[in-house]
Amino acid sequence: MSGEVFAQLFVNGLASGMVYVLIASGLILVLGVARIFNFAHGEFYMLGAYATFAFYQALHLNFFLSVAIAVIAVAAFAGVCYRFAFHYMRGNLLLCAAASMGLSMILERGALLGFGTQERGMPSPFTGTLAVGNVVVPVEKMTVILLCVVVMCGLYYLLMSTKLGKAMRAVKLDTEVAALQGVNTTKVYALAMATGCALAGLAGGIIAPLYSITPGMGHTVLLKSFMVLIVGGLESMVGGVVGGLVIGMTLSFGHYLVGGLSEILLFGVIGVILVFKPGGLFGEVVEDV
Amino acid sequence: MMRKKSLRCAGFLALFLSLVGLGLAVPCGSFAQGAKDMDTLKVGSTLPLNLGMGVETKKMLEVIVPNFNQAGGITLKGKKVAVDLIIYDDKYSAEAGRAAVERLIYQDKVRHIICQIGSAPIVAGLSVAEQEKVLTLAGGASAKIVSPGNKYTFGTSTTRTSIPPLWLMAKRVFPKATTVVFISPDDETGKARAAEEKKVAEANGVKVLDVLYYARDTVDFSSIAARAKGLNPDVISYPGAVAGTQFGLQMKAMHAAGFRGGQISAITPQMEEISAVASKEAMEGLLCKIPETDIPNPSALAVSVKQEYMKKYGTWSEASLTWIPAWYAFIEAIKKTDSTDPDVIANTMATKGLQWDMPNGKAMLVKRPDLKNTQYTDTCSEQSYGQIKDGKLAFAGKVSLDDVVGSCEKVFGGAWK
Repeated sequence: MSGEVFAQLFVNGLASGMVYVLIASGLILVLGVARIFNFAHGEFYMLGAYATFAFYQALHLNFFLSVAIAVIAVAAFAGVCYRFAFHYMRGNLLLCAAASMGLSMILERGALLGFGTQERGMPSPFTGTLAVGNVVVPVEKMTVILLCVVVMCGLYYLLMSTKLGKAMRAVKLDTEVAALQGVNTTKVYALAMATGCALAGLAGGIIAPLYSITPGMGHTVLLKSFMVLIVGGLESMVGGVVGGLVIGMTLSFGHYLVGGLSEILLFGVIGVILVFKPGGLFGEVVEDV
Repeated sequence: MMRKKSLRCAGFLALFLSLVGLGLAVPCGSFAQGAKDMDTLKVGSTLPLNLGMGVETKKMLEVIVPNFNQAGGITLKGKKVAVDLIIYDDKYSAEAGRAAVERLIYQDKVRHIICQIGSAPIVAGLSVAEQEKVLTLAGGASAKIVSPGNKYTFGTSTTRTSIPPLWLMAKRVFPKATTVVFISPDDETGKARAAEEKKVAEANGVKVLDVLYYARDTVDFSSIAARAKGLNPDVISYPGAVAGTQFGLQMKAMHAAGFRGGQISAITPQMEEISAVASKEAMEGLLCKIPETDIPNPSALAVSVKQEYMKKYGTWSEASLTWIPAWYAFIEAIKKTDSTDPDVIANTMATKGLQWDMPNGKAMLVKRPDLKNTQYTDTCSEQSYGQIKDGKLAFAGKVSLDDVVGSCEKVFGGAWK
């Protein structure tokens, strides 16, 4: 493997890994704060992609504006879904998971009926390549990495420095105590759901010009997101970042080295990690007492 | 109160079950329009309606068949017969394909199945169709479709025989090419196409450096492209690729990886979908099939099919042209035998062959001695090719029917006529 190829694979792995980080961060937020195992998370990613496509291609808006509007729309929709569905099952992890599966089916079918089976593609607003010596990398991949880094920094700031972020962390630690301290837990749950799904929608919007958009695109990404949670630790944000990068790099180099066996390689890597760290790299093993 | 609630639940359940039953009873498509005062011949088809090519083929058949019926249909022993084509979704999968074929044969009582596309559903339904003596004129790339054990099954698209003429053309366009890498889907069709194309390429003096497989639902081709580029081939070929967005993503990835050599494809790219994802530079120079409808001086049949399609849908798509030869072969076979008996038709086709006209040019049944089938079983047709120049597909040249058969005989051996 030459240095040029290594660099290309590294950038590819970093780009796809950062997208998984975004999606998994949203999933962790929804699970950790709102206590919902959201099986419809992939569909919010899909909705983000379609919304960006609609605003960019059909309404000819600027790409960043299209993504921004798409994210707001997905967040609002997620908030509505929480209010009219999950709110009534709050606290029951199993019931919420079942409801999210139903929501996933409805959203996928709705997209199929609304957008059809045809794969959609949109031209990339970031064309061209960046050349550093012999290494040539696509501008769009570098843009994806940069955008994801900026968003993750924003998320860190939200969680660590804002009132909402502190409230979310408090609710995550102990809901009852947070409520006693005056935190409106209902509002925090809804905002956590909206923010988490918005991250998925944002990932969909960012990735839309790179790949094709189909109603079923959420399934594969959801599976990878769960893998990120397992590798990184179920409720660890740091784990989500590391897990996403591990998954992205493994797939990128795996596809190059072993082709169609890359998925098996990925499961092998996850297995090895779990042998040494059963709760994930930054997670904890919960033992029943 | 409880009784009222129970009755309401029972009512909703009954309504739900009725709707489900109605949905199951109604096929995806059944059209015998223009069939007033005529006998009807039920013919079946299974198409992957989850894919663009399946949807397009269904749309094309919804134009061709009713127009055919309105023009008088088939004349069978002096009587006019309309065709009632029943289409089910096979989802491009073996399980759904077999289920759809079984439904056509056992529920709808069809004796003829035409225009299927995917190898997986075709091969899965073969055993049922052969056992029930149902005439099947199918697409698909798998050699199992034209194996000597099949009495009632014929391969009527040119997926197995289009590669030798493609490479005949490729040697004209890329005369200095000596190495190639294939990028193929990791399924029955992809592997069949890659295996055949490897044989053809090597017969034409081009060394196959590697075959890189990808899952059908892959969207990120960066790593495969990096690997292909790393092998440094003169040309890249895409056996078994679908014609739409995914193909565009492959070319985009190859360009992003730094590949600037020749590109070859046996299919006609859907330019609108590909242009949406790949830049002009990424597509530049791709040698591919061009439909007869888009060449200078197309045939009258090609012109009329295009006009009828555009009249109904407002736009044109050539995606279905690869898969509708079976319809024209079917009509020609019935005319030749003056019979709808699958035994009579199959026997005549297998022993005497068949020639027919279709929108993509003239076609004929050929033998496959290389597959140990000495009966007429597979299809060759004249082939037109184009190259993408500055984002547009331009006509590059044509290979005649005789040259197509000759190139196949050269690669695979034996006498095909």
